Amino acid sequence: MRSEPTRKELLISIRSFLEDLNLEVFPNAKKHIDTLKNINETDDSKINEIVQFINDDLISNLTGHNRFYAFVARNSLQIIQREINLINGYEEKEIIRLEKLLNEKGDIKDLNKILCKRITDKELDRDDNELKDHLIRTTMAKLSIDQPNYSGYLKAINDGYSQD
Amino acid sequence: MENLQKILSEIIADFIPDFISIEDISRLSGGSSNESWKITLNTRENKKKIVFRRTPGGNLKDEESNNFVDITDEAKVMNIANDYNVPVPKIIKVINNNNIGKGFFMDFIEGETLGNRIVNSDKFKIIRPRLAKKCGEIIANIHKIPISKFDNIKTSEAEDELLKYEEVYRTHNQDIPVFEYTISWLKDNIPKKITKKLIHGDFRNGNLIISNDNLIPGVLDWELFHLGDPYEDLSWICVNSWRFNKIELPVGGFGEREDMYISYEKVLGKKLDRERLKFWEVLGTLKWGIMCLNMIEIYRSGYDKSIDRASIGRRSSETEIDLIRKLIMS
Repeated sequence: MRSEPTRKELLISIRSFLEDLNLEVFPNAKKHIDTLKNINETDDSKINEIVQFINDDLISNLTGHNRFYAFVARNSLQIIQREINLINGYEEKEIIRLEKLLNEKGDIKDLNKILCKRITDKELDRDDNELKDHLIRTTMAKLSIDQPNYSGYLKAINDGYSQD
Repeated sequence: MENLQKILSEIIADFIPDFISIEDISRLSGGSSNESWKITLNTRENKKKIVFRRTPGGNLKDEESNNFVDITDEAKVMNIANDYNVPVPKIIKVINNNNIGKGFFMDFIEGETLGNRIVNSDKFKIIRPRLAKKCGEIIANIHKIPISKFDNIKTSEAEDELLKYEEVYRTHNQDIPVFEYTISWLKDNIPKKITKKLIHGDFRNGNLIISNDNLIPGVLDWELFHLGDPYEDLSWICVNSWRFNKIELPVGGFGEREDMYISYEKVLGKKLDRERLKFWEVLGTLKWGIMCLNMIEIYRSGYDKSIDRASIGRRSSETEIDLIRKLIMS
């Protein structure tokens, strides 16, 4: 269920955004650019420092398109933070469901490939309740990382669906 | 930016005779494909605002996607739409310049285009309930434009659109079970062909100028226009991604479906098939999900390295939950 772009790619895009700022106006950006050059993509506390910088220095001072980009950068960092904390638990459960549904063993990538093929070939019926339940749970998990404030996700929660 | 301003000054002086100088130039937010810049000019008589629209970064070759028409054709279709009472900014000048790229200048229309503000701001509280009806009228007027007005325009109907986007999805080499499930459902539910119309192709909240004075004085972003199934335009604006978190108001997050359908039916004098709209809304949702995947590839290719290009890929998941809600949860 891991979404793209990867954490690494998101971090590179944030670094490019900071490098494009006027560093005389935002001298603190230099420190965070350096951090991003060597960052371990699971380092929650370093990512948090960059979120703070974006909140305190950028969002309050930038205008126009660059301010929009600052919001985008903050949002990307928060996606990374949620992914670091949640992905392993989600993927363990996803593998258990997939192995049962498909009666196959393998890593998450291979299992999803088999699932896709069986849906396309109609070896799995679209009305199969186990398939539908799996798709709901996996998608709910994905949204809780990528877009937890999205209206479609909140509506599904409100209607009683969850990833657990 | 200074360089862009200098080149633009030279170009503008050629077609605005009393031009003196550019007072201000700023990039307009939104529109993740072509760039739009608002330019404030000093002329001998007054200040004047115009918009310059060009391919990203001024690249002359449009490498982004063959879905998008050439930007000069976008200007042509806007001119024709203007002749048929569709509200669009008037095209002032089309250019193809080695220094700043290919694009066009158009009138600046005052109003709001940010979907989020349109659905939330108190400023539009009174007019919001009237916008769906207006959308129905405008879409009907677009569909009334005689297709004989166009040469070499691409046709893309339900099956073409589905196969085109399926092909794009396959090139990404990502196994997304919800997309496979949706493609399978869509293939089993392709509607039969009906008379083709001119389709805007991206008629949604975010591409409409909203104003308290005259509701929708401008429809923007015509870069996906083609001939096709008229239900496409009526469904795309209802895709949840364009409701800006106002999920309970299906038309762009500001209005009710029936208000739009009834006004459309009134202008064209025929009844819409409500069932057919579901196919197009599901396909529209899938299309946006695949477009989000495309953004990742565009970012990776280096064609556009902006941060929003990269991050938008993570919005693909939004369409997955919407597809699940439409096909499984309902």
